[in-house]
Amino acid sequence: MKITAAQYAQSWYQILRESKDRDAALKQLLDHLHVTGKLKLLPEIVRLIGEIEQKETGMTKVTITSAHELSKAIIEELLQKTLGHAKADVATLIEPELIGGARVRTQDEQWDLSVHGQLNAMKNQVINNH
Amino acid sequence: MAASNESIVGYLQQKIAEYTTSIKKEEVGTVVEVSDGIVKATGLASVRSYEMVKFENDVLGVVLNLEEGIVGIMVMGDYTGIREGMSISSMNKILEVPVGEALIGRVVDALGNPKDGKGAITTKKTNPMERIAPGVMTRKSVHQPMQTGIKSIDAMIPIGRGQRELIIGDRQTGKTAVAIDTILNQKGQNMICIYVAIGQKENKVAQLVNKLQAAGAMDYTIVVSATSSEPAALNFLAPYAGAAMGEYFMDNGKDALIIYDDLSKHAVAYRHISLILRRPPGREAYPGDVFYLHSRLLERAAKLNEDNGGGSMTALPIIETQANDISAYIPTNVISITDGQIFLETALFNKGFRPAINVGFSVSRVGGSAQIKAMKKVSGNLRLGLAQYRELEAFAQFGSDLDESTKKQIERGRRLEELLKQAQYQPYAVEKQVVQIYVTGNGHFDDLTVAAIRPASDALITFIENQAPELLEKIAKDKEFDGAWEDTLKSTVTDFKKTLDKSQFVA
Repeated sequence: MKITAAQYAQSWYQILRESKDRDAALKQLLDHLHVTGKLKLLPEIVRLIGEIEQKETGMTKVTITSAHELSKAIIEELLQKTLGHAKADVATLIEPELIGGARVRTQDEQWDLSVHGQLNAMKNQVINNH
Repeated sequence: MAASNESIVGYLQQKIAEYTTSIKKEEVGTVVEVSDGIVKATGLASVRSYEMVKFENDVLGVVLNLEEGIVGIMVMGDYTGIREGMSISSMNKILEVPVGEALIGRVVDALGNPKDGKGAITTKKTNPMERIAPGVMTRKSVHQPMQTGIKSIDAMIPIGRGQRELIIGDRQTGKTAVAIDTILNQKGQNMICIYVAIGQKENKVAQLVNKLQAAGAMDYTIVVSATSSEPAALNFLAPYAGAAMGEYFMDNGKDALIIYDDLSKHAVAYRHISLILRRPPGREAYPGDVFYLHSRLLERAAKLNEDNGGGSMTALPIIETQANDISAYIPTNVISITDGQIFLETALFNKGFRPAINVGFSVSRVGGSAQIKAMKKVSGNLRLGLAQYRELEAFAQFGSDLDESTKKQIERGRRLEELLKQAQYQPYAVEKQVVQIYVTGNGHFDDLTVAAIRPASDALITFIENQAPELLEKIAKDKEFDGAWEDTLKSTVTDFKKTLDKSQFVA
């Protein structure tokens, strides 16, 4: 029977959550994957486990890119403005090219509140209206 | 030029002042895998099939495969700059191309971008590339002729407006030549022509555009070109783009003619894309939906009824066969989709019979009702004469012991066959074809040598144009002839033959 990455991810997530010795369990799982010649599925399995975890915990994975370091209060405000809630697993990135403001990005949505993004939008509007 | 500088600055300031900021949600995804022209990405959870997306480096793509957690995107442009981890944003629109009058006379790529260096195309109208074909209630049966200007086609394999007629044959048999002659003959026929080059050589397309330009045919022609150096994605999309452009004219009550040159390469491009998308291969490694690929495209050619504007789109798809094998997968598919086929043969081509149309194997399933009455009358004679000739020709090779009537039939057949030969880029108006076929078909040229048939027929047309132009005008106007017309023609032919140089022409 062909086992898909999604099926692996589901069972791995359960095993790892319930197991007492996670390292040993993980080693066994990886060995099994290696023996069955399906190691190439690993990146996909890890990605899917991430998705399952997000769904179970209700936490959204968010990347906030900004030109300067942001305070916690500002991050929270940004999350409220965009996602509507602050329940998020936030990773921050610094990109000076953004000039100012920030870009909030989840798995499949993005809000561009950076100066760079706004300038770009303005450029497009001026060009297209002409 | 301070004043104009000021006004430009003022203009810019005004535009910038007009700009309002808003928090906009964009749909995004991330590239996880890149292969030949196909990208797999995560994210983009709510994109639709055939939706356009933009990569971080401004290259466009279109979503083809929707799987759980992964989307398969076909890159419409240079895919070498795309890297894993790159961001993709949805453009929130289904694949579309610019359409309208502004495209006429232009050479564009599969996305409607100009390729001829004549500046931007100023049209605000767009049509979706993929559209469901007109339904039963909006259609009318094919009833108006689409004259190709090629004697053997217009007489024996007539094509009507809204018909789909396949041009099939090996390489170098003159398939494109038939298509180009047809475009040339549409001058003044109120027809917009669209030539779609799929997987052709740049060189060939350039030559063709030059030829059309020189003949003044670009005034009513659009060339959509996806050459073999362009990505398979553009080769795959080009015919749909051409069809979308043609549909604009059809929807506006006009007549359009679209030539797909050629659909074998289109199928090959689609096979390439499908295999990389890991769709299961079938016969000759083509994917299972290769039939639907062509049927949905060709179904878009239609003749609409008066309630829907009465426009039409005629399609002339071209298929290249290998070693005359019309039973290969793609040729049989397209033969079964179309309303007939024009079969070109290498053997005939090499014999010097050009256009190398095998009239025995070629058919037109619906064009008969679109043929003008005058042509219908003369073509019956032509078809019969040729059929009898082909049957008797075998006997004739055994010896000369043939009775008088058989000999006569063979001689007539030879002359008819000779009449159907035609040089490239020389389409004939239908009234001239009727006269030539009438004269040879009724034996008025039986006393001329076979080699003299074509020059004599051409000279006869010139003679009629000078001496009795009403003969041609009547056919052009009434599309029919009567006994009086026949009598005038006969006497004109008698007069004409007196002017012929006996030593050159008479047998």
